[in-house]
Amino acid sequence: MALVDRYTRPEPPIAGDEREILLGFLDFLRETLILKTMDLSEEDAREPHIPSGMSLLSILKHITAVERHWFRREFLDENLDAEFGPRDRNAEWIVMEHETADDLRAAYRETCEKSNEIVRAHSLDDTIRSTARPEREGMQLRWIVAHMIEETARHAGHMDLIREAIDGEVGE
Amino acid sequence: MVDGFDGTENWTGDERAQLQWFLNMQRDMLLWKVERLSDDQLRQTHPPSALTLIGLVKHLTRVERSWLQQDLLGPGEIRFGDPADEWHLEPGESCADVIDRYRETIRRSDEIVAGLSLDTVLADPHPLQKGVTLRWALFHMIEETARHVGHADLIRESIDGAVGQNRWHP
Repeated sequence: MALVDRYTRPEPPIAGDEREILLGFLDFLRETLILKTMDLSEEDAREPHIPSGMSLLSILKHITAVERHWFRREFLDENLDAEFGPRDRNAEWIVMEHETADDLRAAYRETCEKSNEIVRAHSLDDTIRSTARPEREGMQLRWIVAHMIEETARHAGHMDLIREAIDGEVGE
Repeated sequence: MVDGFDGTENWTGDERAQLQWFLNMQRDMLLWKVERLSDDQLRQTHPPSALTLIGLVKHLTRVERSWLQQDLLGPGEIRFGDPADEWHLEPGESCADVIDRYRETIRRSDEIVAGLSLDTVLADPHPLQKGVTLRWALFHMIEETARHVGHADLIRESIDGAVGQNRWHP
């Protein structure tokens, strides 16, 4: 994904097959998350500003782990422990002192590009390879992409209110 | 709760079944976020945001009617007057009225959608969305409802501290 601003954020394609529509919605939402973290001080981006304790950057760090989890650990059954360690659902919400907004945006973009490569290299009918959760047998790539759309959209909703609390900026 | 929806995950169904499941899950999460609150709590704002839980329900009712009813079928088939204020209660309107109307609207949307192919082109879309299909409209409804559920998460937490993903995995 190229650098984006509010004028170049890609809208989901009106025409196109199911896969391109799915990825179109997902890319639109991913870029929305990135936009919501921009033009702020490091401090504002990492402070929660709301009672829940989530911050713009903690959400970005979490959703990066979620992308990696669904497309690589679950769908492809890749072992990422050497590269990233086992998934830690608490640590993935904590922004470390040395992690900057630029670092976290770059990691998110890189992870999303990898996710899109995986989706484009498979049929939406292909099923999950990980057998860690036997009840998920038969889960299709279609379901995983749709889940990423709903989860990314919900976190965009969280970011809407956090950003508004920081500097009053609102908007879709 | 959304009628007939029990939250059982549907990850082996066909495309339509999966889309319907995701949309129902978003709708149900919103209905769950507005349960067990007084009318005053449902109408409470949390500055600086002007949003309220009941405003989100009323807004999404209008959005369902636009996308999955009027824009899909065309104004010759179905036409609603726009609410005077889609974000706030009007005189004589109660929170229960707004929530009931949302549930009725969901039922009607589902009846209409069930009879149409996902490739159906919307009869009367917004001018910027000419050519969009029902498939596109359903994904839009999923993402828009999910984003408002994100708003509802934080508003509900400010009201009484209640948090959680959905009624089945709280």
